[in-house]
Amino acid sequence: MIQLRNIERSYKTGPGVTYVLRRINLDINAGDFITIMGPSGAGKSTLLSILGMLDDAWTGEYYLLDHPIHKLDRKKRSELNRQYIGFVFQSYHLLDNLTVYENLDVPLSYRNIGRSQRASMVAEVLDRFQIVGKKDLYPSQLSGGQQQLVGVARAVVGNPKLILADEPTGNLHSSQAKEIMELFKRLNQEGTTIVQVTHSEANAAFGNRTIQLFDGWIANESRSQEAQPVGR
Amino acid sequence: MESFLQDLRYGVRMLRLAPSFTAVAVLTLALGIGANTAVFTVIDSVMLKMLPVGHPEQLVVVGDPSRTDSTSNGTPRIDLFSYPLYKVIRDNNQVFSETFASASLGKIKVQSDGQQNNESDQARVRIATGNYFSLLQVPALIGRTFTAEEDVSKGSDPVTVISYSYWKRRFALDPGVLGKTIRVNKYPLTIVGVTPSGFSGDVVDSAADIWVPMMMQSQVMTGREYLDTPNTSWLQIIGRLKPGVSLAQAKDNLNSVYRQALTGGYGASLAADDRETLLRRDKKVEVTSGSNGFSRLRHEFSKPLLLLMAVVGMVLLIACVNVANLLLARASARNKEVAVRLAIGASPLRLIRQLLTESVLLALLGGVLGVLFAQWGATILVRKTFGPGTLAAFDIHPDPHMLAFTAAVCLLTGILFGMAPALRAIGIPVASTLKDGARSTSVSGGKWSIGKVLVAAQVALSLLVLFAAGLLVRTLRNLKDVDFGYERQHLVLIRPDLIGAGYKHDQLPSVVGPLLDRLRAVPGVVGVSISENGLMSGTESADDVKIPGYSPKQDQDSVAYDDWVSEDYFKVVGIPIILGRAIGPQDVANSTPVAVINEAMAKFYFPGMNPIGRKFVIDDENQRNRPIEIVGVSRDVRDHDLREEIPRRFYLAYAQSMLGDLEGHIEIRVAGDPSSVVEAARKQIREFNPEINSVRAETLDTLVDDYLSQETLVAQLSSFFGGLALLLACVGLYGVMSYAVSGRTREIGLRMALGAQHHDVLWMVLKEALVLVAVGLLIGIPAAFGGSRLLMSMLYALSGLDPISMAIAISLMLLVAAIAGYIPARRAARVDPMVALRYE
Repeated sequence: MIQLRNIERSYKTGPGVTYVLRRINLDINAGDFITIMGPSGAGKSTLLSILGMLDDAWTGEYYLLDHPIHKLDRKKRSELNRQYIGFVFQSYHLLDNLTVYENLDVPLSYRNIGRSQRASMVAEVLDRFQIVGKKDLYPSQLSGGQQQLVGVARAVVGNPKLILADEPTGNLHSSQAKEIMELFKRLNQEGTTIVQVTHSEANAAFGNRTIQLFDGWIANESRSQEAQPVGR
Repeated sequence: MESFLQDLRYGVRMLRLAPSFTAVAVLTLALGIGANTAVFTVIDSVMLKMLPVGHPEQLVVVGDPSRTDSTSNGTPRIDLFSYPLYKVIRDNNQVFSETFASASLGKIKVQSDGQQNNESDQARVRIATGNYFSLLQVPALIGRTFTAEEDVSKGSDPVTVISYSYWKRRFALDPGVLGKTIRVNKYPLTIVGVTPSGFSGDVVDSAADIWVPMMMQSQVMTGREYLDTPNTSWLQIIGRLKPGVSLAQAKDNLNSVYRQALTGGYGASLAADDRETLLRRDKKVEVTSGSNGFSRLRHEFSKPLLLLMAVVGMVLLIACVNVANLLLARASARNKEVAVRLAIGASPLRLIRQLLTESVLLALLGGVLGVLFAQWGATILVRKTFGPGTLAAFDIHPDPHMLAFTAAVCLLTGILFGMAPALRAIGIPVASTLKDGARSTSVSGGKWSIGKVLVAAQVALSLLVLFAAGLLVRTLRNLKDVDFGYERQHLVLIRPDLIGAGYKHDQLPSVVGPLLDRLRAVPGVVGVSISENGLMSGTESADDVKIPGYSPKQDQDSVAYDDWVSEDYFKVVGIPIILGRAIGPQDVANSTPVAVINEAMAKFYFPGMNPIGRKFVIDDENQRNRPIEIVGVSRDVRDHDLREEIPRRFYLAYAQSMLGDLEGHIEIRVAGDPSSVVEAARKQIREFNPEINSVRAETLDTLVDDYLSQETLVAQLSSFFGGLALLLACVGLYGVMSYAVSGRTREIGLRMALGAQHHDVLWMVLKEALVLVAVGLLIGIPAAFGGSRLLMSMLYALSGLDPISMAIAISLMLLVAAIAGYIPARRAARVDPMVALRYE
């Protein structure tokens, strides 16, 4: 599904250059549930941003479903992002001034989907995530767990092939975290490829592959077969 | 469409969630948009609006459309027309399907059945040929309009048509008004019709109340016979073009009709010297579009109004910059929202559209409030510009024109001030913004952020407005300070309408003497004189003169202005005689005709010579054999104009006047407050003969103020808008500096912890504000000097590079910058290092 070849990301610091990612080579297959781990500053979130096409200033080759992302302009990348990718953030990043329903509707409206079709897609997701009763509430009226539930619902509402989750349980307590991770597992089992960044070994255990980053380099990669119970 | 509605809904919600921001932005925009709409409304009403008549686009004005309320006796004119010349044009042109002539009789006394003669019975009367209403395609609302039969024989049809507003005002819309009699200048006329509401005649700035048929001219203009004389030019002409005829073709045809007329029967009816003059001058009849009727104010005020439009346009730009800066500051707080939207798939274009929807919405709200402001503004503007009584003549109510203009301004403004924040928003680094959470990127983060660039631009624009205002204010002051050559503070001018009161011309000499004696008896009056043209009256006379021994190089060299003045004129007005003597009691009807000439005339025709005792003649059939002896030279004075070079002028003895229609302006010199004498003099005239209507009784200062009304208007309004621009720039600078300081609290705290003193911090911030202003000034100064070229024709005794105006503008700008910068600087200097270092 995804091939990264010699991906590098650097920042100019005065006269020199600081590398955040160095020669990243990675293949992600459809149906993978990948965890990216590593200490702070290792480049985890940057890698996720590159995968999500939120970061443009990198070098190397990136193929997403055979689309050569490195050759595409921002507009094309934005189209592919809309078509294939859903994002989940540590801080949820719901739009504060929109209701739950509207937060779920917004990404669909950006895909130029008709009103009635959007309504049925949002209704289906509300139902699936059992948040129908909360659809008219604003994010500030929800608990952290509920907000992240909406965050995940927003990521999947457009039926993406790939979900990118940046420390999705980082702001949640353990029981809420467990619910979210189980939700991811379920989505993965239903065929969605997931790439998550986390510091939590327990969360990593929900995935089938773990990539360890250190100082921008891939330091280690491991595969596991069974999911483990979640904890923080 | 649906996503647009979604953007709109979201925009409304965002504005509702930030009520303070919305209020400040809407108010700022309302001021800018309101000012623009107000000025546009007046421009539309005076300059653009078509007459509410049938097919106004087919109408053509022959002559000068601005010469409303004018009458000229002397050589026939072709900017105004005599009735005989009107008939020539009407009967011989091949380009008009119909042609009418009309003229204003001014605001005169009108009595209706059962009413007393009092001041409130004054109405604006227009005299018009019988086809006036049919040509304009204005049918009567009730009754009928004039008919062709009413154009045939003099004095036979004493009828009148009244306007809807007069019907309402005077007859309370009484349907039985038809058949009633009104007395115009005491002559009874029967009301035969009422025009529809909204139609107020062919002069856009002077709504007519009453129309009288042309054939009733001598009946309603007592003592004046204008229909047969080719020398009284008083009519304005409108024609309706035949289908397919262009304006240029109409002009060619009318000029050829005029030329043929001069050499034909019409020419033969003129005095030989007039015919010769007209043939020699070979002037062209002007033909212009008549779709928006006649207007003196359009001609007089189009330039000031357009200047004003440019000024309020700049004020709106400055307001836009302020709102753009507010939006930029707010955009920083919305970085997270923008980043999330981009992350979940919003395309940059869609995001720009959403942000622009919000800004256009803001502008529309400003526009709605602006329309309200504009209503007040336009009313004040009309009152101030054209006088309190003129409001009725202007349609300044919101109409499709005004609303379309406001909507277009709102749309443009919204895009203008929304674009910078929108473009900045889509350029934010999504990944790092999401990572940093809600922490904002400062609007003044860089050394030259968009916000600062905008403030510098604002300073430049404000300087432009301030400099223009400075030039116009100094022009007005220069004009007010013009040395008239005599003491003008204690003079009163009165123009009594003696002919209108029923006196015959040959009676005038016997009436004037006793009338002047009566005025001399008014307490406080030092002296009284009479002259043909008075001072600053708007009435002027000029003649060709023949000076023995002098040969003119060009036509214009023979022309000198003249006036008929009574014996005390020079003493009363205070014009010094520098050689010879003034007009005296010895200069009577049958003594040698004499003249006093001014210095300009003496120098021009008699350079290096003593003109006293020399003779000249007025080059006129009646006066060629009447040599005039120069008995004195007077100092050049300002009597009719303040701007132009003082022209050659000679003064003749009033008692030796040969003119048939010599009416006078009375000059009264008073010892104390002249305004107190005005009413007493009016009373004396009323007591002398209650039928004499004082057309005007004013102090000379008032007449000068009236003369300077255009200059006063532009000076006052440009100063007002200059002040507004300054205020907006001040708010803009304050906003940006406050924002910059709040973003640097930690840095300032650190500097103070490292030993920076109160004044170091103060100066650091103030310096930043002053640098912004300095950059703005660097752009603004050359722009203002360049732009002032457009004002050159409005300036007086002032260069477009006037250093004093520029110095004032710069000083004001610096003062405001210092105030706007000082408040945030003082706040910065009060930062507690310990608190600041814990900041964030």
